[in-house]
Amino acid sequence: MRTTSGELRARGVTRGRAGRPTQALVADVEAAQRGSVEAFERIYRELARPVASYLRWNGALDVESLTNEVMAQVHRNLHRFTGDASSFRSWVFTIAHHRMVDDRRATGRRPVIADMEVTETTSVGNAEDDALDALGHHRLRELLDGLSPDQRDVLLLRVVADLSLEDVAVALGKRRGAIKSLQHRALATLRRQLDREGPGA
Amino acid sequence: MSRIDRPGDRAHTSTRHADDGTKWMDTVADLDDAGTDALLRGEASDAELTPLAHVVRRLRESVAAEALPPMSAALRAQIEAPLVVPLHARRVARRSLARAAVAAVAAAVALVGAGAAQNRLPSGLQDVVSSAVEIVGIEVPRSADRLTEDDDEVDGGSSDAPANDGEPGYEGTTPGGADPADPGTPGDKEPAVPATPPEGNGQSDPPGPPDSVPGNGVSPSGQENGGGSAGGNPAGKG
Repeated sequence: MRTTSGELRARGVTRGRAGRPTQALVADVEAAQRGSVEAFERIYRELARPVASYLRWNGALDVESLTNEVMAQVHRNLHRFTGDASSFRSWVFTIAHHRMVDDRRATGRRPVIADMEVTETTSVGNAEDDALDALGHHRLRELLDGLSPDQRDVLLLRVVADLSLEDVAVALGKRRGAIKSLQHRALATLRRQLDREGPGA
Repeated sequence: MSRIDRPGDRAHTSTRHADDGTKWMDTVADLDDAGTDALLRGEASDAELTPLAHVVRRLRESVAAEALPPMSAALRAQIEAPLVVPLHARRVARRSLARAAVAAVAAAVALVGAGAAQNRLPSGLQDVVSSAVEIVGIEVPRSADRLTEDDDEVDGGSSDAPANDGEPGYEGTTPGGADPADPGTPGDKEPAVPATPPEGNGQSDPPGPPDSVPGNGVSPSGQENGGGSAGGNPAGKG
């Protein structure tokens, strides 16, 4: 049995990415459904970045164009959406995931993660922490490449898209238990790689 | 604290792994939902999870570092087009309207058809419908037939057929219809009516009566009523 958005709403699952109240997103969605351009621009500003990041870590080549296509589809189907902020994020990333899969299928290639240097943060810890903080984009890419596609999808939707287990289950069309299992295996695989090769290998 | 320290075999396993540097396996395996959520926020609740928490943190930072993709001209045009949703709504409305129109036409055709079959339409319309459907080989009485029936009633003729039309008890009448009680008139134009089987509803063509009943086939009334409609059987026409 699969988890549905309705079930999520029934459970009162509401989460929002830090920085913006979920009510604001809901209000923007409702306004955009009524045709407000400004509201959709705010939705774009809030979600285009994580969508682009999700697509990039999944190996999309033309991230900018694909992100625009995802958001265009979101806009086209916006009038059909009902639900809360959490459901909306889940819905948007469902579209992004399907678009990414279509793109990958169309180009018939293995995912190649496009280069993007992650801004380095100022380190304040000990030597080990500094080494870990220096974890660069390339090393991150290698670590993610070590995951199966399913594990990578789950991890990225949990971390980059900031979705709950239930939302990821909806986005990927799998059972919550299956997502939980994939998530566990993804973490174990990452930890094993780090253990074997070190954080900055 | 995400780590579940159980006194049983878990603890034993942890001790075993602690020696060979793979203690993290137990730590990861023992993560509960809250611990996993914390780890995926980049918070390590255990030293063994610190490297994983760093990876997660870096991933999260990558989202913040991602430049906001500029909105394409196509998307900009799409969101600024005022009627994206209304267009769809209009399409749906148009489809609904078309369905309603088809249903209305079907209902009207059915009503007119039923009325015409029972010769209950206004004279003009009855004739128009009769002429129209005659083209495709369907026989529908004309308004003139109805006038004849009315005349029959005025003349005191056999009024049983229209009166009993469609009534359940009609078939229970004697083969002679209401004639036993109806004195009739010797000169009645419709002596053949009683001989017509009552179940003739204008659709069947009883083999016997038109030929077997004297005077039916060639009488003026027969011509009037005939018109191909059940051998001149007003009862059959309803």
